[in-house]
Amino acid sequence: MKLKYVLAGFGAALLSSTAIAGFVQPFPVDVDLVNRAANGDTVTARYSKNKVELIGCGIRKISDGVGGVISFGFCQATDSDEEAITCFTQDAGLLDAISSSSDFSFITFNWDEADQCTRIGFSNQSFYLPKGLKSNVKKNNDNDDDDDDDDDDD
Amino acid sequence: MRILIGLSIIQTSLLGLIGLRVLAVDATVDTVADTSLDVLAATSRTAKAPAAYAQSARVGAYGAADIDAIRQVMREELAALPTITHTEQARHDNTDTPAAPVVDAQFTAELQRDVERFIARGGADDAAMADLQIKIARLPKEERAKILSRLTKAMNAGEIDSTF
Repeated sequence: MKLKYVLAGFGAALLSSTAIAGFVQPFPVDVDLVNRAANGDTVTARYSKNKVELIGCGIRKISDGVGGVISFGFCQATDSDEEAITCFTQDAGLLDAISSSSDFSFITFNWDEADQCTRIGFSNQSFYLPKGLKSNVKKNNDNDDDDDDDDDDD
Repeated sequence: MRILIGLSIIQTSLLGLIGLRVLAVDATVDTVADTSLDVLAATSRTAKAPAAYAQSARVGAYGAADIDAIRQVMREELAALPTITHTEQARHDNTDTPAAPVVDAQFTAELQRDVERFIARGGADDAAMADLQIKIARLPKEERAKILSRLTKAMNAGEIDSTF
């Protein structure tokens, strides 16, 4: 009899956790060298079971030595099949796109035959967020400000 | 009674000291103001400001005429701003044109050799990569793109085990 209660408790806990988890859409990194396209989300790449998957973009700003500063950006990705690509860009619009990225993004990019990035996209959606972030859902459905104890850590 | 007289003398002495100090500070402020106005007058001469202001700046008594002169100078300075901004913008825009960071073919060839050295070694440590990037930044935009392309292609081909 006790076992039933324990199992029921586990079930309830699991359902409760699932109910507030929200929609998730892990997007493993995929590098398509034929069509020159790569995409994937950073969280799925970071917590993938393999040790090769990665995706991300960055910017370098460097003094040109004569009073100016040049910028170039790059995006890189490696999928689970170890297909890897890095593209670079000096295009102001694409550099702006990289600057506007945020944590936990879905990233998609393309490149040309010179390995220059031709398209960079970011998507910041709830379903790309990692587990472990504090929820703002209150367990007791109250509206007091003391929500530290009410946060769910799923 | 003696105590009160004593206190009164002390108080009067302190008030006198404070008065002297105020006069000293006032004199300092005047000196600073005169110096500033001299500098302003010199600047206004450079900017072809009205001669009236240059004269009034030395006067020391700052009446309505002086304020008008200052306003006139400020108007002229502000009117000159768009020209300066335009010049600055032009200089900035030139950063990425072939004319700005003039680099000879020898320097470009040197960077190409650096990339080939990376390939020969099979990689580059972070310091070497940063050093190369600093050199690449001195190239005109088109040349920069060529070297970056060569570098990126070598990285993608697995010839250089490094990252940006």
